[in-house]
Amino acid sequence: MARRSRSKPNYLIIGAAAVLILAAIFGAKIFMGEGNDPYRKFEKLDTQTYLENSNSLRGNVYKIEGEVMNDLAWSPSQGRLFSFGINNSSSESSYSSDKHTSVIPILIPVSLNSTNIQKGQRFMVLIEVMDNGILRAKEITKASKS
Amino acid sequence: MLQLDDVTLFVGKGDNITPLLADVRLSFPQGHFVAIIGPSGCGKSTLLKVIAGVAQGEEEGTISWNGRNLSEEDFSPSEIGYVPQFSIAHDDLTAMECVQYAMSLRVVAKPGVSPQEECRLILEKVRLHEAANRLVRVLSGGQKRRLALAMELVSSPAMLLADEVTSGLDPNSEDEIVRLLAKIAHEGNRLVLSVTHSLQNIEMYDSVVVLYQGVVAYHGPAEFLTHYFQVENPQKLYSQLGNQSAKSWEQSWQKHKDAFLESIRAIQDEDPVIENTEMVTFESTEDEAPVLEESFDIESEKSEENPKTLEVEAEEVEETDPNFASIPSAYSQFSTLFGRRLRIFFRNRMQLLLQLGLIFGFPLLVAVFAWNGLPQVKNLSMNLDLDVVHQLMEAKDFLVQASKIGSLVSGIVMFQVILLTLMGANNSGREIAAERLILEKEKLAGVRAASYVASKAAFLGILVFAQSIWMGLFIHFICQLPGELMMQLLLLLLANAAMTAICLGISSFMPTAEQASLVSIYLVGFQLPLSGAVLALPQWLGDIVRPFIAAYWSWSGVLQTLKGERYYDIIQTVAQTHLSPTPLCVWVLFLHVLVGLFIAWVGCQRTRWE
Repeated sequence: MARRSRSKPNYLIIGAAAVLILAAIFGAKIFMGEGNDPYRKFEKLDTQTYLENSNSLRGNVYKIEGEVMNDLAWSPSQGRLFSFGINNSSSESSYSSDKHTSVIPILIPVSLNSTNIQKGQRFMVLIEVMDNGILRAKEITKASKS
Repeated sequence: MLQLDDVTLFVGKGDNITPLLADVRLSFPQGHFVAIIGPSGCGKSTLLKVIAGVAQGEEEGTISWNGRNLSEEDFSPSEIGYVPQFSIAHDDLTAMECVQYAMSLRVVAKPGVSPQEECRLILEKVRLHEAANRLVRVLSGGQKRRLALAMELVSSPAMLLADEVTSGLDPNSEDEIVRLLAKIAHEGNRLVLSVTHSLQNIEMYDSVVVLYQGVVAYHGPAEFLTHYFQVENPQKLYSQLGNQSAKSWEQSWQKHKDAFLESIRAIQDEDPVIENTEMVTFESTEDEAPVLEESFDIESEKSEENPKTLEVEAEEVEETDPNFASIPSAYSQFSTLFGRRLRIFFRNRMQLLLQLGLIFGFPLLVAVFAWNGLPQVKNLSMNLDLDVVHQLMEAKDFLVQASKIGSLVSGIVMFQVILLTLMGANNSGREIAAERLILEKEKLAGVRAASYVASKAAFLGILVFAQSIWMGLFIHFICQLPGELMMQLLLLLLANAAMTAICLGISSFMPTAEQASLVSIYLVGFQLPLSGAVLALPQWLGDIVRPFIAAYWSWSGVLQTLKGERYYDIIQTVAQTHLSPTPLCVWVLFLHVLVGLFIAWVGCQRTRWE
């Protein structure tokens, strides 16, 4: 072999490759988690429990992901009330519109008026269970199709 | 002093092993001008490459330079100059610029000395000063060889290897070049080894090495060549070589070389100007090459010199000789290479026009699909009191609309991404492969692979920036593509940069520019079908290939910037492929860039002279 191309362990190349691989894995793990679910630190709302006894969940904050179904009501001071279809494969609730989808109302307060909400859109919503059992959105963001 | 002991070079594997050089034993003192001659394929150029340390194949034996074993401590870049058969200058630079860049890359500027003046003197020395401002592409063959010599002389190397620098030249030019090489050897106390086919000026060399089928058949003064081989003139030497086997020539030389050289020394002592060649007598047998009876071993005497004396001499040389000046810093080499690349780019009008055409033409191709802006989206009614028939009709219309607008927006984004990846492949596919031999030559002279890749990255970065930003802005404003503009520009820039970097890596590993270009274009061709933007891939296939498809990440990321718009929802209804979050897209594209540059760096570090 040519003197100048004799194989010798090139620790710089090996080290750089290792750093690159580790960075790729670490970065992907971070960005995948954050990007896919900005509310990943919050518990998912159990729609069956909520529909059966909303009082037991009062004051708690949950996340839901669902599709906008209908505009139920609107008040200039309170905000907009929408029905959301929530996919819940484990739900056997009698309130479900079908076997896998629960329909729940969510109040989008005036502070979130800038969000254009239309029928058929999918959103991830951070919700708080109010004293009267109403689910009020704290934050809302569009969801990607999984 | 250069000494080769039993140097052998094999190529091939298994039963196909072929020795290109066999048991070569040679030694050369400083200030010596040597011709290496022999028929085609006898291993002349290979011998130079073995000495330079760049020959491909398995080597045996030892090569020593000033007493040090080169396999333990190789030549420093400034110790060796190598003038290969191919041109080592860029066609779009002038002769003076080539020498100046060679000097900037190899030699640390000395205080109080004008590099410009030094370059001018070097060009004068090689008698190229009158053509100093001419482009390399218009220089004659002889002028190009003089230029190659000038570029080697900038570092004032202690040894110069010249590979067929006189081939294809007219007799006058050849004569001039040989005289020049002799002058370089004698005035600079350099060892100059010159491979040549021509025997026209053989008497100008201090000694001649005759190689035949990889073995040394003769190494001695030129004036005794005809006597040793019993030929009337040097021109008949090659036909005489064919009369015996290589083994026979080698054995004969090994057997008689001491006596032969001793006799030469005796003759030279008697009369330094040898005129009466009849004094030399030959003894030959049927199976042996003719040899001289008397001998004086110049080489043995030199090789038997006190090693201590040699070491002291070497140290003195290191202290006083500017050859051993350190090479410029990595940053200095980077800025020189970057400046040179920019100059070549702006001097090549065709390349410049092509780039302008791509930058301004490609966005037009995208814009024609939405020259009057994007259509507006009609939303579904959200009232509960709508009858079922009305709802169904509305849903049907919405689906048709979603299909049209969603496909349009997704298509526009993907089209601009694909065109940018195409520009990326065009940017760098040929970048390294097209000048690979020049790179190898410059690496031998001390240019760092990292500086070289960094200079390419900086130059290509300018192209990538101009192409991507113009594309992004043009589409944003002409087609009224909504969304976060800065993030869109970043994602488009990264897609282009990723493809540019990956193709630069490909270019560093490919043997020819054509192959590198072809592979790069194939890579672009795979971007669209494997991105899943048009047709959804099977889940398993998508999961496997998606990490490597830059177009997917850019497309997905740009679409995510439309999240606040209705277009996003519509695209979601028509797109069959999952859209990844923007930060992940940015990260993956950034990794593509890093991986591409890393591959390019590794590829440039490899030796590829063939």
